[in-house]
Amino acid sequence: MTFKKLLMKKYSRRVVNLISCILLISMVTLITPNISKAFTTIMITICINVLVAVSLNISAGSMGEVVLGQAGFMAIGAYSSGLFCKYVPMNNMFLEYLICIVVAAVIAGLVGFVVGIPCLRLRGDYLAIVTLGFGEAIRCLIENLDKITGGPSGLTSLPRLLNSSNRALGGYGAVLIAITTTVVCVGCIYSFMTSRYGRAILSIREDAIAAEAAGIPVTRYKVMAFTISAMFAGIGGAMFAHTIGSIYPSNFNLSKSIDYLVMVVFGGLGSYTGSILSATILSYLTIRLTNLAAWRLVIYSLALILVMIFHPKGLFGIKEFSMTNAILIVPGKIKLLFTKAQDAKNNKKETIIETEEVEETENNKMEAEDEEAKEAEALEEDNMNNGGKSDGK
Amino acid sequence: MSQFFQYLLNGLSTGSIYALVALGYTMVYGIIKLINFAHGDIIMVGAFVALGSTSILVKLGLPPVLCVIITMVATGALGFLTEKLAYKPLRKAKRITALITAIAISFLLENLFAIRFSSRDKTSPTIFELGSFKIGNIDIQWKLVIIISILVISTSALTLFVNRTRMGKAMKAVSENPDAASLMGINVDTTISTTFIIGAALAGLASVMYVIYYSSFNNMLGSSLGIKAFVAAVLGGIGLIPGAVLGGLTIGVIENMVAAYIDPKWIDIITFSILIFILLVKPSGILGKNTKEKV
Repeated sequence: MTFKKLLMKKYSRRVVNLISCILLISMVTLITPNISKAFTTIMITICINVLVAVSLNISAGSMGEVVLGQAGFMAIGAYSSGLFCKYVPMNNMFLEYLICIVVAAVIAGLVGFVVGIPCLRLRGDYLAIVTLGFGEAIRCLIENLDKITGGPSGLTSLPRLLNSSNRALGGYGAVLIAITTTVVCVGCIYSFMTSRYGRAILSIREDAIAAEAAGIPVTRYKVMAFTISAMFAGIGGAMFAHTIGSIYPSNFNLSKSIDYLVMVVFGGLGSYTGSILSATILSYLTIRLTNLAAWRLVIYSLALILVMIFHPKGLFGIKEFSMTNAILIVPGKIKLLFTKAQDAKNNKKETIIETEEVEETENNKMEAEDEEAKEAEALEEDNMNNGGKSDGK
Repeated sequence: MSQFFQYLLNGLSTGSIYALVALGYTMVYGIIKLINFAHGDIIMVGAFVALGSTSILVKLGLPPVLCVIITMVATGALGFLTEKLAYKPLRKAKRITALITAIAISFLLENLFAIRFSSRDKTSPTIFELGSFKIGNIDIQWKLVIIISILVISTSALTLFVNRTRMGKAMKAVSENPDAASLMGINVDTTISTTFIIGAALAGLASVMYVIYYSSFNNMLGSSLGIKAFVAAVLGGIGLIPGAVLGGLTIGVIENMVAAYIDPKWIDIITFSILIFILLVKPSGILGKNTKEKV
């Protein structure tokens, strides 16, 4: 019990989360030096997808509006970083990468801001359609401004820092840079969403009218969320450009936006750890099942329909995975399962024994179960308030 | 000047196709407040059915025009199925859930057809061969006349149906207030299913018009046509039958004028700009009334 109480303290949660983060990252770094080129590509793709899925989760999950133009913001990030590389050549690849990311974030954020101001007066279906329109319009613009962007034939021979064939760093270094970028960005997003601004955005999702009545400027916070979402999608786009080295408008079509929406919905709209987990799993599956490429979208859309009908909450709902809770709750739940199984066994054997005794034991057990359940609930609530975060990647 | 009329006529006939598709969006949106993303893909399915059925009809020695009926029945059945399997379980769910499901169905249809029939362009079947006639300097193709008259006939039939029949009145009642309608003895589920079937059958008609007008199509027909028809529905005022027709014709004419006088490359961008502009200035559309939000 004392151990439990100690773990429930706020600072010890942080310590547990930090330790598990460090463990995960060090595990990944220990594995990576020996990985093959193919696996390097998988790791980097996962990093990009995690970042973009988490950025979409800001607007789709926390703000509660379906955005169908995330690939458009990725395109802006990718093209602004690509054009920057093209016109401002630099010797230091790493410095170039950093500046590119900042440029991509600033430009994508600016576009998100400009698009967001008029659009976010709309809600629900209309907003979804308008973002779809913007996403497609951005792609069409890139295709048509062929003097700057190269049109449908794309921007090619860009520096490929995040690639297994990178000479300066090697695949290992590339993976490390990708992981670091993603972890830093996701950390920023998470701490923003658990700040007072993040809470204000959550309140808009729960009830926009009540939030407005409570003095929250709804449109301003929506624009803020949208801008930040666009910014990190832009960073994802810049990483993408640095990975494959040549970008085409067709990389950023509607189906790309839908891919990310699927990731966020599977993970649970509003759960950041959920988005991270589902983005990791889905992008791994996508790469591994290339021989099923044609069927992938069919399977995705079928799965999406089934999830929506039978379990619309997704993997985690709006909850977050937390190491502390895993340590605290999971053993209790397993114990509960065991006692239940044993109960069933005992009941079978003891059916002949007098009924009074059985009733008594059952009552006792019910009480015990109640206590356990209450404890678990309290813990979960506590977790929601403190926001336990424990993922490493 | 005669050229201008030519473009106008072309615009009106593409606009007629958009209008017929927009009617399906508008009816479904009016009754369950759902943007049926899969509607465009029902048209794609319809085009494939039309292609298949004409070749069978020709083999049997029947007139290929009969494919209109087959296509409308097939798409109507598809609309009924999607409603029953995917949307009905979500009737009480959040709207975002239904929206995501609709997007998923659209993707499912597109990709299933891409696998089954490949994503290459298919040549449209010849349903009838008609030449053209002249009024003054303007060359008028018969197919344009037919397409525009199909729109006029089907829209008037639909208006009569909605205003005069019991089922049509039930539709209006359900779109006004489903709970009150069910208290008045209207079977809400049946009414919604009927709306889906009518919308999808109109989509079937639109797909026949599409294969008459354009010489080829592929499995992505639905997404581009669907988005444009949706823009049309929003432009005219979503939920309103005259709005869909007005919006469709407007979009069709604007598109053809852009293609003729500016550059065909800019068609999509201008369509999206119209959508964004109308949503920002008057989200209820040209014919719609602004409604205040109630708490």
